[in-house]
Amino acid sequence: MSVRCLALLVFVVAALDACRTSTVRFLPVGTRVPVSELEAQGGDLRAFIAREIDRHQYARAYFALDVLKTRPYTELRLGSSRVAEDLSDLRSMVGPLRSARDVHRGIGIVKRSGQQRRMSLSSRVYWDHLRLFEERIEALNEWSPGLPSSYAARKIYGASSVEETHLAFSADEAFLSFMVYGERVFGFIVTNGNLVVRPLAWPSTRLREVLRHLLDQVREPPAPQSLTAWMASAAELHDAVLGPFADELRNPRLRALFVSPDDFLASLPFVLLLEPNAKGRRPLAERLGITYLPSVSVYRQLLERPILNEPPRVLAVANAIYPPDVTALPFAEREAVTVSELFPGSTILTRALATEEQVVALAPRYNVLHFATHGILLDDIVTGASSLLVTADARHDGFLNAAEIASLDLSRTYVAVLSACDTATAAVPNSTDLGSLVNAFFGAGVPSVIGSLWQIEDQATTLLMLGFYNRLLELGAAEALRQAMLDMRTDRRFAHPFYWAAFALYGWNK
Amino acid sequence: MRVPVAIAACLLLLGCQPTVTVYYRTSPRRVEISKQVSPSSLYALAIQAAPDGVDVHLKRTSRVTIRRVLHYNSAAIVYDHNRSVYHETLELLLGLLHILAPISWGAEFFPNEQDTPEKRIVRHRGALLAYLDPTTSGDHFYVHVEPIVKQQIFSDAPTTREYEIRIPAPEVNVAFRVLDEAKNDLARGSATTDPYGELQIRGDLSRAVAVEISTGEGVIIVPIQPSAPPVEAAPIGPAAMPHAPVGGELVNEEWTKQNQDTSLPRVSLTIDVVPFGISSWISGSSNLNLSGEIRVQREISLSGEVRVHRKFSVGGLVWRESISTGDVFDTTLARSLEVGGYLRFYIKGDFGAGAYLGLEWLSGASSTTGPIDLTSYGPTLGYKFTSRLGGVLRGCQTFELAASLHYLRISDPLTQQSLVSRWRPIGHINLGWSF
Repeated sequence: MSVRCLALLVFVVAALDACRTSTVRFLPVGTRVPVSELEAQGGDLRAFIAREIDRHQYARAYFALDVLKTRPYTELRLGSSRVAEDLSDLRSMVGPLRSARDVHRGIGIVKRSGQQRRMSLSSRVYWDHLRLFEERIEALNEWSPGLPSSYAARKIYGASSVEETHLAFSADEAFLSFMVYGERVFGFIVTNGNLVVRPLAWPSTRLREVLRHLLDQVREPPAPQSLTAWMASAAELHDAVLGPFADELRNPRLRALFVSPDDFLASLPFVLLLEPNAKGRRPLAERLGITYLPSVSVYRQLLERPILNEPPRVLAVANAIYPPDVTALPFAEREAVTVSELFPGSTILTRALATEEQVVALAPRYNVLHFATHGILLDDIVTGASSLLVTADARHDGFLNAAEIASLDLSRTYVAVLSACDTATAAVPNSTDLGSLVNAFFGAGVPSVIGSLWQIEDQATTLLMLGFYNRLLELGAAEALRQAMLDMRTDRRFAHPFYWAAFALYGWNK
Repeated sequence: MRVPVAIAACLLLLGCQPTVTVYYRTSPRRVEISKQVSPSSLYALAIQAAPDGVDVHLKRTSRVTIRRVLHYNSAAIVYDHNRSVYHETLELLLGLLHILAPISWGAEFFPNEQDTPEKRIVRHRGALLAYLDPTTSGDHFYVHVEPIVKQQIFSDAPTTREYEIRIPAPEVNVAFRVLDEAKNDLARGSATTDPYGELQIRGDLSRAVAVEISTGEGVIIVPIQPSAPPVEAAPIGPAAMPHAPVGGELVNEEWTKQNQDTSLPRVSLTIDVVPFGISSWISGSSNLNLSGEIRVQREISLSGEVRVHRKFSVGGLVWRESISTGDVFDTTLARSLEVGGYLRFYIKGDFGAGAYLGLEWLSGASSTTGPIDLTSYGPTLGYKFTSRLGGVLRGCQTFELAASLHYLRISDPLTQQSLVSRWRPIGHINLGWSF
């Protein structure tokens, strides 16, 4: 009798247990799209992403977007040595240069005359890299299933899934990525592991128009009668660009927002966007530290960089000897002098001393690099051609281009400040590249890069940089820049965004 | 009656603990910073901008000390209890079966991987205990991922940065004198520094070598530098610039210590195979001829060792020895069951594997032919090695070589007459399990 009771009990318990759901929940490495499928799109990944969104396959669309945005960086990093050789003398390729506008009190972007031929890097390099990454992921998953183990063990970063993105950020951080596809603009936001994809209500044409209007208001020194003219555009753009994600961004615990813009949105100063609050509107920078990223995969590589344990020593490069018709930058030199005098052991290279040979030789030995010189955007020739202008010497053309920078070993550099104009915006329409110069410094090993979105006023820049460097080691690059900007706003002379909103941090924010 | 039992069962299952947790380092979480700034003092640079001009840059300089600790987020794979009554019942039965198979006592559920800067393994229960303990699961893990765990597991070693910062001193009223080599005034006057903390002194200053600057805070004499100083040799060389690799030495030592301890076995149970005469030369150390009259031979030797600290353990001994005549008749005089203990300190390695120095003590009082008192004590030196073998379930096999030198004393409790009193060397080859 007792055996029967025991058998019945075992049967009942087993039956109840069978009703339970599976007890083993291995989390895979995330939703991915096979490399072969992406490569088969023939370079039109945007159309693929839009299709996946229309099919409600948001995680697949997100993965493809990360592939799209990681590509320029990876190509530059993998091919920088070869490209640097091809671009060793850009003078003949670029043609005559001229200053874009009156830069007697500031730093100007340099333009060139006429159109040049477009070179292209081999796309095979990137797809081969992705394929290697995919094989490694499969091998890892076979031996050690589970997302965290494969995440931690991986050293090759091809592309990141939503799940891996979740692991890359803290609970008080959000990641917002945009994609422009014709007239459609999509935003992907990842907070606490949740991916939300929403289309922006405005078509890209209208967004461009309002953005152009905003930039017109803030890129020039303000007239006394139009100190607040920028606010209407900033509020409109906030509602159009961040409005769809208001629920996610309203989280009071949120401290940092990482933005991966696309196309023309790379020129949008997110710090300026005016969000509504109880008293009206306030710049987003008052609440959130904003950092720009090319993609999460690039960010994850930056996280592997060592943290320096040395006092800052600045290499400041300013006001080199430029080609004819390119204006000298005496005020940039003054800014560089002030910055270089902040810390003992710093060095300044100006004019005849700022040769490309000197810069290339000395840059790997300093942990803060400060360039106050002209920038020239040549992404339309080839990825990696955009340059910082320094003094030419017997062996160099004076174009310190992105490919040359990416092939340097700057692994000891903590932060690079590009206090030149437009270093962070891309010249190629529909490019996802935030700026090949910024990517070049990432590729060389610099985890944090500060670039500028427009021409900068010299005295304000000097004050902003002093505020930034004064806080850099205490607060980290993002918070130091944010507080320096907010300090500038409290100074009545420099309260207008023209003076403080031009700089943006790219990369690692701590 | 059934309701309280059901409630108790539910509470028991709610209190279930994970068996193994594997933590993986992910993204940086926060930077902990402490900063000290010394009071600022005035500092000046003087630069010969032109033959007729000297630029003075006035700064406020401070010493700053910043201590930074970078803390990381971590994700975890948790091998948890499945809260299944059915499985737990089976596990209890399985656990009881395992007790009968000592080779499984030291089994573990997770491969014996080493911790790395990016991975930490915490074993909350051994395999056998997980079977027997109703709040931990053995065979049927409930494996799940916690993408961001609340505990602070990974942190870099703190980095302390000391540096000097020189902020421009704008709007400072200064009186200046420009001096030549003979300390004659080439120019003098007063001025206020501009927004960059700079002032320009003009005049015939080609022979100037220094500038004396007086402010309300004191007087500074500054040598004049040429306007374009040569580029110095780069001050940062590879050797002068050590950098802390991400995930280097842990800052949370307590956690490390705890983790190291949890990865070690807690108990070792061994049996000495020397008394079984596995080899003739070894048996020589197991048998002892005393003056050709009395022989002491170990028949059984068991020991159990418990970890008190990574480097320190206590143990118990149970020996059975026979005392016989050492002549051709080999008559057994007595069989003594001895109980004792020992202390061990691991001079190299730790409880898991290493060389140790110990002190043993045994006492016995039983006899088959008449009462005797036996006391045996002395130092011991040995080496213990633990290997983890097996597939998914890994057992900790323990192998131990040791040599002891015991002072043996055998006496008749009735007459208090000492039968034996001398040193005896003893060899041990201990085999067993750890868990």
